Amino acid sequence: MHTGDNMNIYFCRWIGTGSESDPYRTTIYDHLAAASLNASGSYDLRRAPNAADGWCVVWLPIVSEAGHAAIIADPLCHYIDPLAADGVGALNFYDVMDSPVVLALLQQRGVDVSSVSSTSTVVDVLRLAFPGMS
Amino acid sequence: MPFLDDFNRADQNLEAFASYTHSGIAGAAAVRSNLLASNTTDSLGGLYLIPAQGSTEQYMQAAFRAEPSASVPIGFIAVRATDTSNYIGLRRSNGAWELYKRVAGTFTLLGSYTAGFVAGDVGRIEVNALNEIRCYVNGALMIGPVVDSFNSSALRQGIAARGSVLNPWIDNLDGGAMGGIAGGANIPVFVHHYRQQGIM
Repeated sequence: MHTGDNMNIYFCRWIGTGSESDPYRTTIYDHLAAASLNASGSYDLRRAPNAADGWCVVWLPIVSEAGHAAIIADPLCHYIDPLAADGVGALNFYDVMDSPVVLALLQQRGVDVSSVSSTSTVVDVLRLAFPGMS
Repeated sequence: MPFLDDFNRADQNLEAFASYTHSGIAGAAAVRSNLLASNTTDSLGGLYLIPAQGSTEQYMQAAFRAEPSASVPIGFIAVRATDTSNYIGLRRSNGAWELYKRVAGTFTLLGSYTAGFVAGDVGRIEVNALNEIRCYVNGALMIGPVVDSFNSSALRQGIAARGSVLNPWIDNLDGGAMGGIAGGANIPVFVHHYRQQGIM
């Protein structure tokens, strides 16, 4: 389901060089501009703010199937599907170096992440943050 | 008290008005015919901080009188600003509202909203204690919340005039401290998402 009032969440890689004509941006923005769509929000997970060295969580109320398909066809954009049995792959699928950043963000918000391992999925981690998830 | 400036005074460089703390290029912004013009093509340009509002929870808004006629650089209304190289800003570019952060001079596009433009559209940027940034156009939320902790201790906001000569540019500047946290935190956004899908 990629339409209606629901929001879709993606992990997207930062790209760009930081110039005004090629700013640091998440890859999803290029697809959004092409489809005249706008993101609802984002969470910058880069370790350094002035380098394209990490990931960004982006959420947006989406979207046509074609728009969603265009986004996930980009190897630098990953859809976080809460209904998938296996999440979207182990955390180390994204970038092991980024995992501590994600976990630190959760720890700062009081989430116990001691059970997270390199084989945990993104949805596993989100379930720790939101215990009500089945 | 919020700082208001309708620019209704004789033509002058903006730094001639004592309320602003200026750095960078002189005359980067200038009052012209009771409106504010962007007056430099320099990339760093000039930063005009409004009087200190005493808070890291800030808003800035202005009526945008024109947009660039092509995809050329232009300046920002800015929060959490320290100098011409470091701030978080909202601008009206050609065809879209854009939210950027500028860190040590580099640009990160944090959000954009493609929309038509009418002279006088009011753009507003807010940042709260949770480092949530929201941008509104004519009172409607268009970008955000974007969570970004850059310059989270910066106490000043203002105008970053740069990139293009554009006359007029903006009018009716309004800046102040936010009254508490507006909207929800980023985590509740996810909670909302999963509740919408019947998972929580």
